[in-house]
Amino acid sequence: MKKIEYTTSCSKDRLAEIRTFVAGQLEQLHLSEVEKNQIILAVDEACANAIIHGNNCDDSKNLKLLLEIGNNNLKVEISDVGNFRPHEMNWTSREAISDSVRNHRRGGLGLPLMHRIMDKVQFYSKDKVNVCSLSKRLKKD
Amino acid sequence: MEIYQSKMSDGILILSIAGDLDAGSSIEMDRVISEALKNKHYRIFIDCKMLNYISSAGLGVFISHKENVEEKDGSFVFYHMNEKVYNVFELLGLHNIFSIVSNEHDARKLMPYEKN
Repeated sequence: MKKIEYTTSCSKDRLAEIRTFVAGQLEQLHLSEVEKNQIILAVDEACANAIIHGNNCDDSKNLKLLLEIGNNNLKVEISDVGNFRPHEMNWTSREAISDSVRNHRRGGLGLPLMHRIMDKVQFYSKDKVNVCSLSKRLKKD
Repeated sequence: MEIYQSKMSDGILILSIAGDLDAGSSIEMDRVISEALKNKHYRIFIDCKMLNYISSAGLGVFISHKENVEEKDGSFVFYHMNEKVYNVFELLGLHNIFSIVSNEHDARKLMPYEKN
């Protein structure tokens, strides 16, 4: 199991470098471009939620990523000290889209995407730190 | 992200997006589309040839304007989409509610004629 940590600030301007960091770490897994993009997307969505909703884009605050890469699985933990508490995820992506179209809303699709891509999406708080944990079992070659 | 605009003589507006359309850049995308609608451009082609990445915030821009455009007998038609970007539309089933074709030629077949 390989563990890699990455710390950045809570700014939307940092999202591109987070994606570059995650892409670099996924290289060793020999995933297809589409599979790799899906994982990058799930992490990007979790980070965007933490930065925008949890920390109001306050770049004096930190966002920490911990990647654990095993032979058959991948786990990414995104930690911050903001106040984002996602609603219970019991909508299908179709319901989320219908709601967005009906109400002309731009948001609300990040969580359905994370659930579609990853096997497990968990949110919890520990010692005032919020953690979004994303896990996925990887296909063997 | 960069957005290049081309206004065609038949009233179609082509928006070519280059780079990453994410939570940061989606604000600019929203501004450009809102401005287009204000100028009564409802028939909009989205050329994705140079679009490398899209997140839910980017998708949300098109979803939030979809009804406004269609109420005016217009629509968004996407083309030149790479496999990664198309897959993100697929993940949410958006490939079934948006028109996505191979190229500009096919997009013109789909776009309704402008009402006088």
